[in-house]
Amino acid sequence: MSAGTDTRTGMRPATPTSALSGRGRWRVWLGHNDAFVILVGFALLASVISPAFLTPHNLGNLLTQSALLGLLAIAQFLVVVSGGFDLSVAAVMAFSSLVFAHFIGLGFVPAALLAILAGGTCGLFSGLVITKGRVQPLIATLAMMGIARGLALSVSEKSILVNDPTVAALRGFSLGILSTPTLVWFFVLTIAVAWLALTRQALHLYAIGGNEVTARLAGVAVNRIKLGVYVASGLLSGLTGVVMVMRSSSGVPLGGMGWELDTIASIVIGGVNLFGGEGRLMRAMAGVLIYQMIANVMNLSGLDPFYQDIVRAGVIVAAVGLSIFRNRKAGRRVIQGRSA
Amino acid sequence: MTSNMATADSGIDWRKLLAENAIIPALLVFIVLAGIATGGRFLSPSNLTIILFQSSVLGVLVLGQTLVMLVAGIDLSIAAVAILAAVIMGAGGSERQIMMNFSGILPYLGFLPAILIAIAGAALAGLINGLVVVKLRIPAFIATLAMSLALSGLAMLATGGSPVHYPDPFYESFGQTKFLGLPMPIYMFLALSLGLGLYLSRSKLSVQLYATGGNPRAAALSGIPVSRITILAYTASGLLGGIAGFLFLARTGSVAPHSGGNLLLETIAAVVIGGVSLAGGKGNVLNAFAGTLLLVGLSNLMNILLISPHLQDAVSGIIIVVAIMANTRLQDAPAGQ
Amino acid sequence: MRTIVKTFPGVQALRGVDFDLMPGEIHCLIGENGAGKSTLMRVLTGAQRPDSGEIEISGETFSGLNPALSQKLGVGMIYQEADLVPALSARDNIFLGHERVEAGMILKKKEMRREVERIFGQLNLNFPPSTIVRDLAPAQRQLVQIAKSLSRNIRILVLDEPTAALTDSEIGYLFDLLNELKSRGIGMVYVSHRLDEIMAIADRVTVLRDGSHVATQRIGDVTKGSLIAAMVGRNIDAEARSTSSKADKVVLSVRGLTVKGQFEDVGFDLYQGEVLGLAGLIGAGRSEVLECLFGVTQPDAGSISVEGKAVKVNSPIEAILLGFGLVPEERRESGLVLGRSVAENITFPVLDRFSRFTFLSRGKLVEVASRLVSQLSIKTPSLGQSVRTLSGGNQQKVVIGKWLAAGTRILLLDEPTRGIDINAKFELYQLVRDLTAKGMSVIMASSEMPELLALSDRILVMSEGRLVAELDAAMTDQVEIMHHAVAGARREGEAA
Repeated sequence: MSAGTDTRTGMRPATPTSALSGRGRWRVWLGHNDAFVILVGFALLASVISPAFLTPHNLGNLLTQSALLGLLAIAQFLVVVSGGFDLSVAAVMAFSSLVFAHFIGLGFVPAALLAILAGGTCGLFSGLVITKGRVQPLIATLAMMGIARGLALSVSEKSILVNDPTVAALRGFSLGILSTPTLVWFFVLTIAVAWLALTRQALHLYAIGGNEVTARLAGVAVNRIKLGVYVASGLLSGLTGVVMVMRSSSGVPLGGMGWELDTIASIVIGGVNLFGGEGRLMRAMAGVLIYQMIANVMNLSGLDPFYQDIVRAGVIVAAVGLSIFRNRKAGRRVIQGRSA
Repeated sequence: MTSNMATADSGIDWRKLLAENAIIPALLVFIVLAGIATGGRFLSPSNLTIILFQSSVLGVLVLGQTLVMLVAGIDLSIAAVAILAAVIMGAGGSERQIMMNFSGILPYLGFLPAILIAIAGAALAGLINGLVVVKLRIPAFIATLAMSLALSGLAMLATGGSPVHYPDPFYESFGQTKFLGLPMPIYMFLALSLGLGLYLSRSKLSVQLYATGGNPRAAALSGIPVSRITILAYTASGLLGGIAGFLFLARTGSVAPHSGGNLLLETIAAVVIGGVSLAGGKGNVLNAFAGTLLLVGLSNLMNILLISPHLQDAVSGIIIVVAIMANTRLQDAPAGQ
Repeated sequence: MRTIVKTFPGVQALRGVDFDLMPGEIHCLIGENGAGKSTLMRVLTGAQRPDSGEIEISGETFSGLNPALSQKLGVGMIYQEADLVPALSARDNIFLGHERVEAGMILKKKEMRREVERIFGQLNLNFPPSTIVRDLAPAQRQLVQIAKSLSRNIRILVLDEPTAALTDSEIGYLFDLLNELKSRGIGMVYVSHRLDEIMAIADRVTVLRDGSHVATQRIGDVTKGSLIAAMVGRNIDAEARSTSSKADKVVLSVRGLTVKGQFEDVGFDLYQGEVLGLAGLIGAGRSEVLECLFGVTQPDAGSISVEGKAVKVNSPIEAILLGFGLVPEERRESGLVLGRSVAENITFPVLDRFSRFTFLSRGKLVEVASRLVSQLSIKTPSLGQSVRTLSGGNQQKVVIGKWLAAGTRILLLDEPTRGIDINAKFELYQLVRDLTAKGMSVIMASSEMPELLALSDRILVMSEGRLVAELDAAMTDQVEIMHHAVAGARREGEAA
């Protein structure tokens, strides 16, 4: 991360990376890919400790377990890159799982569409409140969290069991080690990666998160993009609700309690800048897997689930603290670079 | 309390006054409308007592949240603090309860020690929040939400996840004891609100608190110990959370580790309805108090009208949003900046 | 642009300025800090609307512009502080807001890559366009901004102090580039106070002073001397210098003070009752020195002693206890809590004095505040009035009042008269004289040379983070100060 320091000697400094020594270049590379390295290290360590870890079956399980968090983390990723937060993702997921369970009588596809639409509506509401109402994303989505959770509980206080042949079939289905939730996750991930790489809107998303004023002055339709990102987050959360039903065969009003923080923590582990403008989706997904593996290890070690909450809280604060520390270091460099 | 340093020589700015205290007329209008909608039932003395009684826990939490918001922070752990405190007081203070729990790790502490430990622990949680926010510069919402997660875990651990049904009988009797027709928790709630309101109107700390929230840089450059004030606000918030836990136990006579579900959101709703600015440095206890009454009154009204309690959560979410938008508009319009 | 008028609360920033620009011309705009250069350019780029006057671009007349319209008309601006998204690549920044796309959303990356190669080729830039802007040196960022403007087919390019962060050789390179653009018919407004550069690059030059147009001349008709004279030739402030109240006792002694990246090896003595002026161009490090003395930043090297005793100033609170008071440059951001009352703002540092067991005696507080309000003749409807509503001059008096209440002995003034009107300025000058007469010592950083000359006993000139001259205020003049401030600014290898 110390790329800028030794570049100002000549008149036209060469590009920072190529000017660096081999060791420096390695450090830059590591800085950009630490999440992958940690992930591989984790996997190696786990397979040494337990030979069962690297079996296809176990890897499939890990992916399935990560799928819901992973889908929500994609939603959170988009919002955080735009410079906001969405604390409602998990509650919206729970709400739409109930909408799906409630309307399953209409058939699988209509019910799923309704559930996704319900999520999208929640996102639209948050987005309008943030862009038109000028309410901080944090509060607007916190309110949405309450609204969605309340709506979910008023549909049903208890989980609704879903008895539908399509759901049952999808639940049993798998492609090699890839279960249905994993497949949906990968499918959405592919679309999101392509969208992020190819489209103008994605570029604008990063620009808004990086420097909203500059983006606005350059003619970027800031409010439209922001609104779009909250709608997308809502739709994705809605889809995740449907996937949750495929996994557990029921709509769960209290499903995903506390996951809003888990999504933030895992993408931050995956190198996303908490204050917007920076982050790569694949790396964020590595963060999700790391986070899920920590949870797995805690489970396997038989730690009391209530202790796990405390450990989780510690991991979240540590991850965010580290990201802020890193960010501050980078920020300081920029300021130094500017001063006379 | 907002600008009462000296009497204004030239006419009072009524629009500004209204913009900053819009909650008061709103509350009055609401009371009248609710009275009409329920054919007077809402206004009966017994119902008003119920509203105050129900406000007691929320109202004390609101005091803590107000302090934190005045320094431009937010405390998302305050409900978890209250619940953990209630669990410690309820379970740790009752031999009978401890004997009923097989999987909890909390030992019998004794009645008074349990209260002291609970309150001290609550303040400690607040202190840690403050330190993490100020020293590690972690955004308040992350730090306090993580604290909330950890405390909920602790509450579960304490009792092994089971509810506390048999706290010391003192709590229930305290909750039922009436003085001049009103239960004791109401007096505690009113006394704390009044005390904090008065304290904030005439203490050095309040001037420092508002300055810290209003413009931390200018405050620091004027010699105000900004970090200390901020940490203090979080600590006080934790402490008030602990007291709210006591009132919770007194009001309901039992507590479960997951009882705090809606409490957090309601706290923020009440504070925000009361016009306390999320940006810091704006708002006061009286308005936050009125916000609490409005929110609880609304929920009471919905109960009378037989609306589902879960829908009420959704309603408080919507109210938060509407209140903030209205406040933004109101405060933008007259000032022109 | 004709008879442009722009008024801010309390200040008239532009008083009917005329300005014209021809295609293929470099028209320099000069003036002291606060003369109105930036405001005039903000009107042109649509960032601000004028109160009156009109703007004509290629035959079309407007009463005011907005950023989008201004861009559409081909106006591009390059700011002092690079206006880029640091986390994006140079290429993405260049095309931001007008990306080439197909099907409404898919980026035509190849086409943009080719286009950016072409622009980079034109500008002779040798770093890859995919470099993240954050990793670029300041000079490179400036060039990316120019590339950004070029990609938009501009006809008018505004450059605001474009060389502030560049080294000599980079400046030479920039000038070649500007000449190249000129030959393509692009008209350029070049805002700077570096006269050497202006003599080298300009076709015409316009001087602004106090928001008014002073002169527009061909560059062949002027000399550096005549330009400096036109810039500084104001007479409204030319009041007889007051008698000095400087005593022989040294109250503050600074040696070798350094904050890396901000200033180096600053040393001076301050005498009791003295006004020590601190002159220099923007970015010379004056504010940074004051902030360091006040404990906002910690020095990397050097020593500070107050009245003969070596001290370490770890925080503003300690600075205040040592008798320092800072009146910061950004009054509204750093000097005042705008939403709070006059009385509170005045008494922030001394709340302890009015409180017992944390309970505040509002009576005593109001007494002190009202004494200061009348002593400084602060015009406010009441002590309870929030300072947001006061005029700039009265706000500044509140900041100073704070330090009078605190019993400050060493007052640090940073651009104390910025943004306040003439009458309030004179009141402040008188106030500074009264205070020094009572034994207070003052360090005053200012860009307004007449006020430095009128108030100071000695003037220190800073340039590029160093002290370059110490002048006796009675023996010097604006031209000499400007000469030092500008001359020191061009040392090879010092930039950035």
